[in-house]
Amino acid sequence: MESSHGSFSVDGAVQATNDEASSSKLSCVKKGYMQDAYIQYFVRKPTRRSPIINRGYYARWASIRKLLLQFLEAGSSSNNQHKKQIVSLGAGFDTLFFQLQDENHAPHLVLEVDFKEVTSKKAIIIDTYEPLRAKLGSNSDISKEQGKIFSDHYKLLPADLRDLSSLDLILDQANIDPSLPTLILAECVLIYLDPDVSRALVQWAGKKFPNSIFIVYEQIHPDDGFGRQMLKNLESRGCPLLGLHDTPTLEAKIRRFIDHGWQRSEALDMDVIYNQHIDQKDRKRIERLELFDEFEEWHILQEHYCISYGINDQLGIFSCFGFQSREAKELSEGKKEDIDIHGRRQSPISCPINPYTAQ
Amino acid sequence: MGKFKEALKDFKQVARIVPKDPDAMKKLRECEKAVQKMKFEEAIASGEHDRISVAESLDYHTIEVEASYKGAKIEGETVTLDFIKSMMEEFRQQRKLHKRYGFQILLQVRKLLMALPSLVDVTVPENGQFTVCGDVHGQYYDLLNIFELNGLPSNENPYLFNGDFVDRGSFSVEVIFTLFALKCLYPEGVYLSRGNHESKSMNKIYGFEGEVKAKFNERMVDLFAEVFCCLPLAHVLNGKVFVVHGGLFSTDGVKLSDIRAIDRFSEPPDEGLMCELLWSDPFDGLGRAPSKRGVAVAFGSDVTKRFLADNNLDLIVRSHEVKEEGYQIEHDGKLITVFSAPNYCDQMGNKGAFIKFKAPEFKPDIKVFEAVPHPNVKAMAYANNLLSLFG
Repeated sequence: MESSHGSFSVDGAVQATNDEASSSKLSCVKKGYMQDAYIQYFVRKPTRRSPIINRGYYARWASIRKLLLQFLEAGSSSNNQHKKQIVSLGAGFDTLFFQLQDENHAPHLVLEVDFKEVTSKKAIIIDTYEPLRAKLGSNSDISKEQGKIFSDHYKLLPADLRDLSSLDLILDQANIDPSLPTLILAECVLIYLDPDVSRALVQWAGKKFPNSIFIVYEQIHPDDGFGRQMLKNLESRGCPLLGLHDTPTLEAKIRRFIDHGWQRSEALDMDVIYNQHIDQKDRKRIERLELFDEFEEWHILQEHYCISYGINDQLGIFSCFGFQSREAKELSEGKKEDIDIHGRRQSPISCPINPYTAQ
Repeated sequence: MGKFKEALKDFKQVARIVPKDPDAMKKLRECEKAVQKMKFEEAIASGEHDRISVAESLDYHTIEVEASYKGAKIEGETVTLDFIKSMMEEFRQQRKLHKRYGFQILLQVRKLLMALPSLVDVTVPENGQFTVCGDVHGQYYDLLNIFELNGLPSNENPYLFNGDFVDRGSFSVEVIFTLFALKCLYPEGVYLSRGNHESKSMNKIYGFEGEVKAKFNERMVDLFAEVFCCLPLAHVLNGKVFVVHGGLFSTDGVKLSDIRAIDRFSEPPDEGLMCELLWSDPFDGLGRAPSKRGVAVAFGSDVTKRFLADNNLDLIVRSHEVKEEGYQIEHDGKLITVFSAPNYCDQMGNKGAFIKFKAPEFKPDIKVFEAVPHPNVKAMAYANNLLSLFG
């Protein structure tokens, strides 16, 4: 790995995190943690990861999947159903679209955005493998050199998230209608950006999408032994976590949304999410898949990752969205004062039990 | 296994009484399947005892050393200090030990360990010192650092390594051969206690088996497994300090003689005294609780104090859990966890520690140390992979 931190080598290192993530996802799938018939096409050399990595990826996948399904179901009981969109920033080789297609859960439009180096590789792979290409439908246009895919319900476009002005153009090219309910996904993306850039991105998205949920999965707590070592390790790999000191806590992740135009925000760390908000039966199932002896490391690791989301809800279909943590529920039922960990612009509203979070 | 057999009896009776009840029939069938599965597994397991042990069928004298081998050599039948120092330096430079000498060391240490009781009483002479180290987990360069800070083990500078010598770190082979060779040279200067990672199932997943296969061969994997089964399970220093890798028990009233009497020559079972010695953890509270590990038990300060009182002991020293400062004092000072693998797995950022005792007082003097650099070895299956959550 080059030791210089010229932006080119850093971009390269950040892009390489996609290959590791894909490899780890495949390791999980092969061990039976979750199903994904498509990730195998994106991994050249299958590697078996240790149980803690498999479990970590499962936890990430399961919690984001839970929120995703809530988003897709939101407002579905009303007579005025809305087409839904997903915009995945720094999507890498995510197979979300293909999996959702299989499950008959695919929204109206999925747009994936990443560096051109990544989207062109993805376009080549999708073009090469029939099971992937077939899912695009008959109306598809794949440009491998440009790293672009246009199809009825799936678009892949290259972009540099640091160039906000280009993002508006990208949305137009992809036919994204900002007024429609949109899920914006940023998994291990903002953390690599300069904090000014991620704040601007969060602000831009908040202004642009009045009916949206912006989900961020990334690290917290740079301040203890593990956090310091994590920073050192990534620095030495050439992809420093530029954003971590700016939003080092759950509160800071929430403030990033609230202070930049979002109506509501919540954040939980992965240890809490894994223990309390993932389907208990499925948890017990995966815990039996492998011998596991990494408990201290597991808790420390999970405490250093979190999911935070911002919600804009003009249509009023997201009132029950979220992990519905006890704090959030108390807040929404008017039982608790506005505490640090949550922010609200509107007055508390009562919320029926969300079927996706009721255990 | 006993529980399932009991349940099977009950289900069969229920099925007799309500033969047409589909739920009863389903439960009976499930129970029958479970019992069958366990019988099958028992059968396979007992098959292993019938296999000829590698140790008994191996004569290292027949293994030739090529002229091209320039590494450390054992001249004659026993290891010498010169050999050990030379081997350690070769290891430091990432060079290999010839398998002939590897087998020789393993066979010799096996003989030594086999003769020991499951609980070893250590006597430290008046004004003598004694050092206890915790998990090392294949971190060879950190082990070298411990020897830099505290001196090489010898009869005058005795050490006890409290289990988990291997797995996770990329240099488990170097660690274990160093410790085993030192044990052969100084049987009264080096004490080795079994950890939960000195077992086949753990070594398969957490790197040691892979490392031995890569650096040596399958036969050596098998011989290591046999030798690990000979490691004692606990030590008592001067009748005062009880040292064990994991912790205490799910029942009260366990005496040192019970531990001494354990037939330890097997893979750790998944319940009972031997399992608990290697797997239990203390917790901050009273009584007992189910272990977060799914095996053995979590035990409170009252359990510790009762065990110490029952056995006329002053202190428990154990390892098994990584601690940010390398150690942690718990249970009102009656239990110390010591962990000697700093920056565990290159990720945790923790410090390492070891405990020095001086006879006759045996007051614990804890020394803390930081990780030292090590060669950037291409990741073993399970090294450096915490980074993989970052994409």
